[in-house]
Amino acid sequence: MNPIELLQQLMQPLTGADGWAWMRAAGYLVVGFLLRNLIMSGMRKYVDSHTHPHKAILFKRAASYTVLFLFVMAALSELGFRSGVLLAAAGVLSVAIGFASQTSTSNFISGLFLLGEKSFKVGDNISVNATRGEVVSVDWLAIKLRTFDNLYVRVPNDDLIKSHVINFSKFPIRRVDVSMHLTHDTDVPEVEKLLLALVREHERFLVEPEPKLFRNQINHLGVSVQFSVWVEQSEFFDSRSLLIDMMLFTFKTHGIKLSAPAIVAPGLDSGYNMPYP
Amino acid sequence: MLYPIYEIQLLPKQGVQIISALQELHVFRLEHEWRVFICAAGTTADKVPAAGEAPLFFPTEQIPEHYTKSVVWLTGEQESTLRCYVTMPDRPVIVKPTEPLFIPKDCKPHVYCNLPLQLALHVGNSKEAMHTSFCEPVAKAWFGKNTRSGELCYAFEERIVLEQPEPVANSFRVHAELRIQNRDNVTIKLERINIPTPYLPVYRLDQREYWTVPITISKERVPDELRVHYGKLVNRKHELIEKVGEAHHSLESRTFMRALEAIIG
Repeated sequence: MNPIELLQQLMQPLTGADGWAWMRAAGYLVVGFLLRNLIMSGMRKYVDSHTHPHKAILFKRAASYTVLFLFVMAALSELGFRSGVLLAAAGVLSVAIGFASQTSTSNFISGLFLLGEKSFKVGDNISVNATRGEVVSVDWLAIKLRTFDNLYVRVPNDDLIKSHVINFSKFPIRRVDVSMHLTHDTDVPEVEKLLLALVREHERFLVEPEPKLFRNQINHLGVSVQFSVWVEQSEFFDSRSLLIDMMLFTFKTHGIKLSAPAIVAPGLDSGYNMPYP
Repeated sequence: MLYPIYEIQLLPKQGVQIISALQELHVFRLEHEWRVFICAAGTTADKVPAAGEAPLFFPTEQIPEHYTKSVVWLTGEQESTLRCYVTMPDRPVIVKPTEPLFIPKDCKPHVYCNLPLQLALHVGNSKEAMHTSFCEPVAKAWFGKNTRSGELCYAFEERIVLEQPEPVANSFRVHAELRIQNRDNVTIKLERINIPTPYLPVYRLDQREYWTVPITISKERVPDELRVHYGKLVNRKHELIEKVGEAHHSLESRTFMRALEAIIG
């Protein structure tokens, strides 16, 4: 059966539908829309306050499409459409549309994989292809990011499948690493005591996992060390700034010298720097 | 019924100082709003309670000049009453014994621990707290098998004790009885316990000590997991018992959310 014949077969029942059938079909659609809105409003009250925004969006969309699909099918059957023919038409159309829009199809399929993977959700901060930002929506073809300088970036789902995605919000805690070079004559154990006492007094820094001062190497610049402290993920940037301020003040107060370069700022993704389990 | 530990009627521009080991709170009723000024401990007060002691309440009319943070509470209504309640910490608390405890199979020892209380300031009959804070320093910690799975908790330095604690005058800590049941075949080594404090209420016994309901933690043989049961009554002799703090979450909500998580991931 070619597409034209299929379309003719599909449209044939319309010619036989009487006014009462059209009324019933319209009634189904109206009831469907009303029911959908009612369900959406109920879900909004409960789902929004009990689940994550990402799950809330998915649940609401799934419920909305299911209700609409059922009532549209019911309306069409009132007009005499046979669901088997409709499904066959949908199959033929999807193949035709698929050939015409391979990129969109690829993005759509990638989107399904992404949803299944649960790598990130709405509200997470992620980095993809050197773009960092908060996920504002996860859609069928692309995700939308709001970067930290308030730009709106659309990233096709296909790109997400092919490239590395770093999710900064996946876990509730994150490690702040501050790397530096102490001069060769520094009493490193004493510096360690000072730094541990410094963070123990502040409620922002976690006591477990324990903060640690790693001695990385001795080189011509001095003793390379890395002070690692765990903080709440949501407070990462403020905590890092606070830690650096506190460390500088302590070093100044106790006469601890850093060799040039004074402080090596941690890289973009210091969360996976060695050494730490 | 919930009993406040402190209650006062204030006229506009009148306030209360709440002095604790952690900080000073200056709570003022102003013309249109309530304000809480948070200052470092010892900013204005000469006498500061020690850690674990109850906060001191003084009427005041002097707004502090130096404060680290302030909270503005705007209801749009003229409320004149400030009520102070206590609550259990809003996150689970990790407590440790002085040394690891070994509990043989089929044993059911009772141990006790002191936990920090939070002070909640309510205006009028509002069920929502205007401000909640600890009255002594409490650190945050991660509790879990690794940094991926677990939960954010408070870590408290007070150790688990083996005998029922005696009342301490002016204490601002809540006692909890822990019943540990080892139903497994092997001895368990207890190095630290995560107490689910958000699900526990606070009671004041005979106007002098705070207790919460007993918690039973059982290590099951099949399946190999821990179970937590909450008692309904405080297991301590008393003549007068007053509920002074509601649980942050009801137990039903915990069960429901766990079931929901199990279904939807």
